[in-house]
Amino acid sequence: MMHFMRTTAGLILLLCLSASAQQYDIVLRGGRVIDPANNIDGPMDIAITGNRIAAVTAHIADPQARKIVDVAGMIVVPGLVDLHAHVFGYEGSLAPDDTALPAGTTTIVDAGGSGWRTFDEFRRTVIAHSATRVLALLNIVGAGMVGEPYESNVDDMDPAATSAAILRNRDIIVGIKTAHFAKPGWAAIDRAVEAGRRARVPVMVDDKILTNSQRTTQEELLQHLRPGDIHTHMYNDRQIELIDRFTGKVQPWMIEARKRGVLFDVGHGGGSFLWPVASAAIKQGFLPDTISTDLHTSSFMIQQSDMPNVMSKMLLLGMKLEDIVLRSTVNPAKEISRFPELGTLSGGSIADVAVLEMQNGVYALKDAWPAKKLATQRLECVLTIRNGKVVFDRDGRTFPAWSVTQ
Amino acid sequence: MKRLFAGLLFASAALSAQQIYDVLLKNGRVIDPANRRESQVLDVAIAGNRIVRVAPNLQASHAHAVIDVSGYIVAPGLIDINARFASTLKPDYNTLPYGVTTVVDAGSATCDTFADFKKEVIDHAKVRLLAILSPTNAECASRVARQNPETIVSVAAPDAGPLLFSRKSLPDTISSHMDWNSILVPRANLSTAMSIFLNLGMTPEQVIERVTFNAARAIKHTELGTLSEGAPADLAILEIQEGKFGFLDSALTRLDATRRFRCLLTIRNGVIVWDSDGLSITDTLKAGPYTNFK
Repeated sequence: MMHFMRTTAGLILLLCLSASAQQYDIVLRGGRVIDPANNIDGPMDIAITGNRIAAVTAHIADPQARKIVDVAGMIVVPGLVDLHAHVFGYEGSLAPDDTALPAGTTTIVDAGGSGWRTFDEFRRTVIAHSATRVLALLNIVGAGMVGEPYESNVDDMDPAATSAAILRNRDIIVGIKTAHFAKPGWAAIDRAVEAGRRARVPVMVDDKILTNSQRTTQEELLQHLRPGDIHTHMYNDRQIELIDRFTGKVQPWMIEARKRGVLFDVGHGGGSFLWPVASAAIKQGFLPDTISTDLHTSSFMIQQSDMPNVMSKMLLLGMKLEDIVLRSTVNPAKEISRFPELGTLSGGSIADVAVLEMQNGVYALKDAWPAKKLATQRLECVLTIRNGKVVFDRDGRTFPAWSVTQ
Repeated sequence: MKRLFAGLLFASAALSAQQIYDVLLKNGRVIDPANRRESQVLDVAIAGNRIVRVAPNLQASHAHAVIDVSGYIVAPGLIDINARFASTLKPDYNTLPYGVTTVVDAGSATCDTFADFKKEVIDHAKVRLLAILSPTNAECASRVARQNPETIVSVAAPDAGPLLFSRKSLPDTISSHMDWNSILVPRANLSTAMSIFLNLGMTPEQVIERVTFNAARAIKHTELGTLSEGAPADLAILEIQEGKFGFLDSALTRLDATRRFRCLLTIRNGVIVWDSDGLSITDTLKAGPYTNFK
């Protein structure tokens, strides 16, 4: 009896000890942590408990963690926030999880796939089933991004219905999108801005300026958009002419638009990123506020332009890695009023983490032409944690090893 | 004499300008088990959607586009005989980037749902997407199969089983068994499956045989999985990378590995649908002025 009690007491003691000792579920050890919101760039361990970041500190001892994952030599960043993606409505839409999560992207913003008529279906059929955090910019067109004639149908651009849908779905909808408006005049842009004013959210504009559009990008950015509104496809010169073709300089009115608070987004896509434009602009210091992909079927297949790919392009054009991470996490989160909830590794925040590898070799990075630039470095995602759970693990490093002798 | 010489010059110029091939893959290491080609250095010429020549030293001037694939493996487009595209898993970008040009959906559709599956999934896919119907009603299944002979793969009868269900130590076919739930963890794509068997001791030729020639026989489509002249121009350009890799099995244990297959270029029906290393894409340094961009 005595023996039994002693054993039981010992067991209980042991259980208590191990419970208090293993306070963390996962520790990512030894990576270079870049967390711009907290001014961190250096070797750190990151601990996760449940679905939250529990600690970011120089060293966490073995007994404190149930699982230790060695990420020495890797770069650990907040889960990437892709401000411009397509997972509903648009014909080139992708499914969120199998393209976002392998890229380290834990939050995507669907840019206008749904409108106020189709958002409920979007929520029910895609958002509810995705491990990726899917947020949305609601298209000013009620039918969403479903091609012509719908996208130029002014009668279906209803600021009141759009803002009402936004207010009903504040957990998911973070702004408005207007895209591909092919009729002359300002109806699409002005109605989107009007809806944005009512719902107090930003508008992202992808404008189709044609010779008979009777509007210019200059007027749009200086007179029609508000500070905080987002001009996407910034390095696409076919429609917006960021670079003056005769002088090679960034247009002065683009710089003026930035001064008045209009934000510039990469929105790489299949046709919206050109090496000559991006390299001239970045050389002159005209950097993107946000780095995003506009990822859809053809851009995935031809350019492979997911977040690490677009970030690698910025690296090749001379941007600093810390700055690239800032514009892929903190900045997009801020623009949609989700900072510091998203985009940081602060203790207590949701555990969305991307582990990236800086690879050395020869890589072809392709633009819209498509033309390639050869690079000697690129980023690739090796591990993605979403809401505390390992959702992508390229090399299986969070799992136990198997051996032939087993 | 002068005129004859000029005539000859003209004739040879005309001859060399005859670009009878659309794409010429130069100096690849061809692994084509159907034709017993085991890592021979050969050129592969494509015209339209067919393979037209496989031989050494084909004339580069006879081709519109010449792609130097020296150092890489040239294989028939890979065949994955076991995938499920139900739910959110979409076909093209989970197959073509791995060199898979033919994929068999094993059981997402029953004979009742096949028409919808065809309209929503198969008809939108660039990858050749075949289907095995989920067995519910035998009479209905055989009727739908008769109506869609191009698409529906007849399940091998049990007595024809050895091809699919081998008792030998090596599998006859290698497939991914990918679905929406396995595509991320354990990364169930065909490259992963092939890399696992490579690291377990199969030769590259043995692995490729099981995802081309053997897989084609298993689904009774012997016109596929081969680089025979006249065959559909489905090809995969692969390399074997050396390094430190890890692959998971379905029980989520990790095989520590030193080699892996990687696909650089995929050609489906004569069209380049995947070119991760930009082998067929112009360098910006040679692209000319920006105004050339259309």
